[in-house]
Amino acid sequence: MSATMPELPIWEQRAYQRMSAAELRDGELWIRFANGDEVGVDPRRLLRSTERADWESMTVTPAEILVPVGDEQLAISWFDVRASTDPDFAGYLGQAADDEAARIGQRLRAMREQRGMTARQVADLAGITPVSLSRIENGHHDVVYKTLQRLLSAMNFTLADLASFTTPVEPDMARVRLKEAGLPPTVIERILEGGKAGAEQVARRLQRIFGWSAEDLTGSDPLMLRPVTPLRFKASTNQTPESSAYSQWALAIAQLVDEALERAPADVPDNPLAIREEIVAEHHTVGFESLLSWCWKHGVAVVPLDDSGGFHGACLTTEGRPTVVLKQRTSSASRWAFDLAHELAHIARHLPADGALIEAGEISLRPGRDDDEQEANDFAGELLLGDPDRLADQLEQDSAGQIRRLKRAVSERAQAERIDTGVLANYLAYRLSLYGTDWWGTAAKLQDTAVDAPHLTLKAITQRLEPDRITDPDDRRLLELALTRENSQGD
Amino acid sequence: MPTVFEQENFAVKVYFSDTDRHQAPHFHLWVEGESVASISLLTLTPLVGGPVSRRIMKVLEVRIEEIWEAWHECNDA
Repeated sequence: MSATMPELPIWEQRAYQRMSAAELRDGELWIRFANGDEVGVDPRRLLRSTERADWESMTVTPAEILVPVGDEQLAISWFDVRASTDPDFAGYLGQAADDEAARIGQRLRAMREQRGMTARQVADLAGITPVSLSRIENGHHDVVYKTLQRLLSAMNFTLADLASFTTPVEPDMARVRLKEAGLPPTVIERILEGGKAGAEQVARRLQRIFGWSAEDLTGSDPLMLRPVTPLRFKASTNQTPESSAYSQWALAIAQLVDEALERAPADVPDNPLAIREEIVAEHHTVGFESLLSWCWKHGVAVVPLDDSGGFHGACLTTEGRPTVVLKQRTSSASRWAFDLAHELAHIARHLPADGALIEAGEISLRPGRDDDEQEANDFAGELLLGDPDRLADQLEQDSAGQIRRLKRAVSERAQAERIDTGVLANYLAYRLSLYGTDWWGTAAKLQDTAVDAPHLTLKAITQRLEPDRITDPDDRRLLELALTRENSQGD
Repeated sequence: MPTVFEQENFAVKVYFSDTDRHQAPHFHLWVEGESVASISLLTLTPLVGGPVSRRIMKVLEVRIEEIWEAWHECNDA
């Protein structure tokens, strides 16, 4: 059993929620939606008083119908229209009401236990019977507002406390459920701090990262993920449930990084050669270190994660501020440089001001990926090598077309052109693979092992983070745990 | 008008039909002039739409009494 990112139900689709026209016909209000639906409803179901409604003068906006009623202008939302006309949506809302009653009941019970009060004590103080309280705590009873206020008051809590309350989750139970959800052990132990995190802390973290409440975790249903930001996966063949849960973790950490940095929205140039030119002017060569430096200088945060599993990278924009998350088993600077340049392409060309993109599969030079991936690879090639095709032709001449001379030719050409030897070698291996020649082994020997890319990335981010900007102390701790390298974990 | 309050780039709205007893009490969140989520009033769980940023969620927690009062005014109207 794994956590799954479900297909969105129809009511989560924009076209379902957007109204385009409305008219009153034969006493019914007929409303057209952006997805082509046309629905009719008795207007008395939507407005409390329709006596003085001037339907001729109503205005339709995508999410509201505005109707003049006397001196007022009353609003009808898309939500109300759909709830009144779509039995499936109404059924979903009915189920959501039951779920909400269960959540409230669980929270009230946990709050009572936190105060160390018996059900009878709370019921007496609130002026209800213990049986009624039991029904409320078990989610079998729609608690009315006044009763709820009396219950909260009896326990010295407020509505705000109820809204933000997190029912504790025992770490051992969380470990089992997180494992079922497909998270790698390293992440589970980061979240649980090897079992040292308390039940309330664990609950807050799971709610914060995955949106899972104690009620979700104690149930037997598979855990469902709701995206924390508008999200899409790259490499559809690799959209595994395991990477779904890990992606949520990675994005939550990227959001914490965003919170811990003071930076303006970044403008990543659409032209990779413009970035290359700037880096060459400052550093003389384009490699991982210089590209990383360019990123930070231009407001692109780069986060290294160090866990096992199938996730390879992601980029996220928050109000125009970009963050790249990289995770590679190798510490090869050339691989990290390529991945970083690839993610920059997505930021420059494919992401809105608020959105995220997950590389569930390995970022690869191999052809056959979707158009955005190919475009990002081309972007990365140009950024790191300038004109990769010219270089490949040049290398063929340098080596006189002989494979055995290529290794030396690559080293010399990279030095002459001030480019990264490892990146050039990887690119050449890719070109040769298109013609059936496997040169990856030699390319691997040309990688610069002196530069530890994950370490460099960690050092760069650590120098810039201002953890005190994160208001919640436990969020600060979570970020610290996420950035700890695996080999320094105590598990 | 159904707007309970506006703050920075977002607004909270409650409509007459939001008090339907067959539904969890809820309100609507608008960001940058667009309706983005419908959220339960007691536990701040998104019923439809989202995600809701943590910045906005914290404001909702702080101003929840205000939203409750508006919801009740709507219910009593």
